[in-house]
Amino acid sequence: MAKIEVTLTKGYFLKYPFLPDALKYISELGLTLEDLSYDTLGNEVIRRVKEIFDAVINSLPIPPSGDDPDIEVLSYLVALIVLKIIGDRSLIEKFVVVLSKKYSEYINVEENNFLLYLATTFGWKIAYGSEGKYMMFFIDYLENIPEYRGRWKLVHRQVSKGWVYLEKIELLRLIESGLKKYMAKQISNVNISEVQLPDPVYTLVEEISMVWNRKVKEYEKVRSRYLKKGEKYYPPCIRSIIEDLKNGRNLSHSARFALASFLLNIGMDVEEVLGIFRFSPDFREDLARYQIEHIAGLRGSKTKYVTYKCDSMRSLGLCYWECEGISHPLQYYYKAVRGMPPNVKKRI
Amino acid sequence: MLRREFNLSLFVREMFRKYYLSHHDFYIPKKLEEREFGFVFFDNGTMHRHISFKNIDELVRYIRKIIPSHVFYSSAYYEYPNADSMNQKGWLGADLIFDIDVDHIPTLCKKYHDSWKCLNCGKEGTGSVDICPFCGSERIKKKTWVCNKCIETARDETLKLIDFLSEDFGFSHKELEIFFSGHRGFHIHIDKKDVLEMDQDARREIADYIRGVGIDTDFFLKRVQKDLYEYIWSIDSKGWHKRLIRGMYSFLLKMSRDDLMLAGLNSERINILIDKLGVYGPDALNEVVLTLNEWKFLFHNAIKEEQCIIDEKVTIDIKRLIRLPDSLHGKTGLRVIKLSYKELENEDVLKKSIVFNDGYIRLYVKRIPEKVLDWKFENVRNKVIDVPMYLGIYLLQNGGDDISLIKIL
Repeated sequence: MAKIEVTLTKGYFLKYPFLPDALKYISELGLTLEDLSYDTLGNEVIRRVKEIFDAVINSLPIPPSGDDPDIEVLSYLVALIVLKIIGDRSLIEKFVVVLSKKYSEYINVEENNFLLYLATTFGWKIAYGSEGKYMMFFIDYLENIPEYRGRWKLVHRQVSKGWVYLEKIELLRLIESGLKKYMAKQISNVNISEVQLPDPVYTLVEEISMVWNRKVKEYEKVRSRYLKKGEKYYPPCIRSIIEDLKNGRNLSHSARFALASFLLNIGMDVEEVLGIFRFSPDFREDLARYQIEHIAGLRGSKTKYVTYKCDSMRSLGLCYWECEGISHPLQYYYKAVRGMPPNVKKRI
Repeated sequence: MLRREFNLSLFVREMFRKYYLSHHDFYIPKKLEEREFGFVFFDNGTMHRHISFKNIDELVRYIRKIIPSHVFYSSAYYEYPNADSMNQKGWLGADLIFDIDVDHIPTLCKKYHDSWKCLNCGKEGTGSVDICPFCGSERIKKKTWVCNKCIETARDETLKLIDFLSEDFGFSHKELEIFFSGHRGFHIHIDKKDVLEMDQDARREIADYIRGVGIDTDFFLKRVQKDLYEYIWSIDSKGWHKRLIRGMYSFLLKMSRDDLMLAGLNSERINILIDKLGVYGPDALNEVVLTLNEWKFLFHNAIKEEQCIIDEKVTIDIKRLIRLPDSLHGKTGLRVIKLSYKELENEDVLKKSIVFNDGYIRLYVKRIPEKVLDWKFENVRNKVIDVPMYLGIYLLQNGGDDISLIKIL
């Protein structure tokens, strides 16, 4: 594939501080973190980083940048360092979501060549096909689509010889999700230990970390209101598994997993889940307890498992419904508890 | 009872030993040192896993020492393949794997060799069922056998899979490693760099595509009048857009007007469609308008024509243990063999995988299915029979109380 050439001016760095060329430009200036901390440029950068995190944590739009690309790129760099040190997955997720939204506003009005350049920056195999369509390698496509259904589901796409054909508007959507992954990767690639941090940056990390923790506590308080509600709030797939169980049907391994992980995730403890599995015709307390404790993360790998997504439930033959706007059984449950049960259609 | 089984497994193990000691060019998995191996032993039938080897010589030495009944290796590559817990292994990637198992494919030959018993009502029958036709229970005990017809069916399904992999996904035949599993099916492995880091969701989507799962009529039809729709993609389109039209066409070619009428498709519109099929070929499907239900019926059958029945769990699992090529399948005594595309197409796969070609074996048979591997048995009950070694080993291993060894000839 031909290499895509784009001439980037500093104006691009102001809009897209995550670009490898932008970061390279800054590193060529030879600034160290130490330098940053003690002069006016440093103060400006720290102020901007705070502003960005304030918006990220409170889900607000990011205030517009000034007109100095150096400050914008440096702030981005410091933000990556802050995220790496705090190391909180949900904060990173929030950061990349909010920032990719912001950058996408600019990206959406860019020319073809710049879009292809961005896509190749993410490591994608992509080409501009005929009739205004883009061709994207199927693996890159699959790793970046927002959901595995509707227009994105591969069975609904024109697919040939490894290429998936895309409209421009679809490519833009994929770029937004590719950008999130790209930034997340940049964060995980940051190589720095706390010892190296100059005081002002260290103070910044502490401050942001504190604000974030306060927010997390708020979320948890809200979440606790949703735990352990009655069966009528469960999605149809889970209700159907429970019904099978009560009718003495033998459940497949995946059905057992789906049910146990769902119940554990809405706040039931192992005993309560065992109580439900007691209906099973081949119930053996020792085995069932072992399995449930495993799913609860009390044994083995110590990972607490999350219920399958709707896509997986469908592939496993556990879902025969279309629940409007729902992509995860737990999402259905939370909506139902909030008094907004989704519309459900039986699938053919 | 215990004594009989003990002798049997000793005997089979001896046969396996002869093979493993005399076989030389063992298949070498790519990056063998990053793979986890698992072995089932003859004496207790348990799986020993989390084992790794530095090279093929070390692996072969181990196999020759242990003489296992089954050998598996991971589709995944690990930093520490012999770590005891999956979390500590450090997953680095996994081959993309497809499994075709005739167990999942309905075949006519099953009624000649498979049987079932309902654990709920006690009724029995031949063939393969998932739900008891008498009481509706799903507690079914199955007894299955494999015959050359099964292998042929699985082979055809594998060719279909290869069509998906090359036409739709762009893999060349050279990039596909094809294996006969030594039992009921075939595996295809892809170890191209691009695929290794794909996550489970992406792999599931590929499996769904190949199985034709999740096709929604909305993306293929346009409403042109009240309650009437047209198919908007031509035979020159790509992916399932093309496959559906091709599948509808081949389905309709097989059906008579009477068949369609019986299926409830008796409208004037269907008559017009059938008339046009003779003139326009598949393009006729772009020339008609049908009701949503008529299209759904055609889609359903087109998917059946075009889909490939793979075991999606194998494709989705990124830490799967799979059979090692050139090892013997403990249940059948057949060898797991690597096949080129040409060999898959043209050669007798069963013959190629038979290792125990020499000698005969005398058995006492209470009951035996009509077809096993490439042999037919007619009305054999409570009889002494002489069969070739490879068949004898399979019969003994899979026959339970119905088949016992008299002597080796």
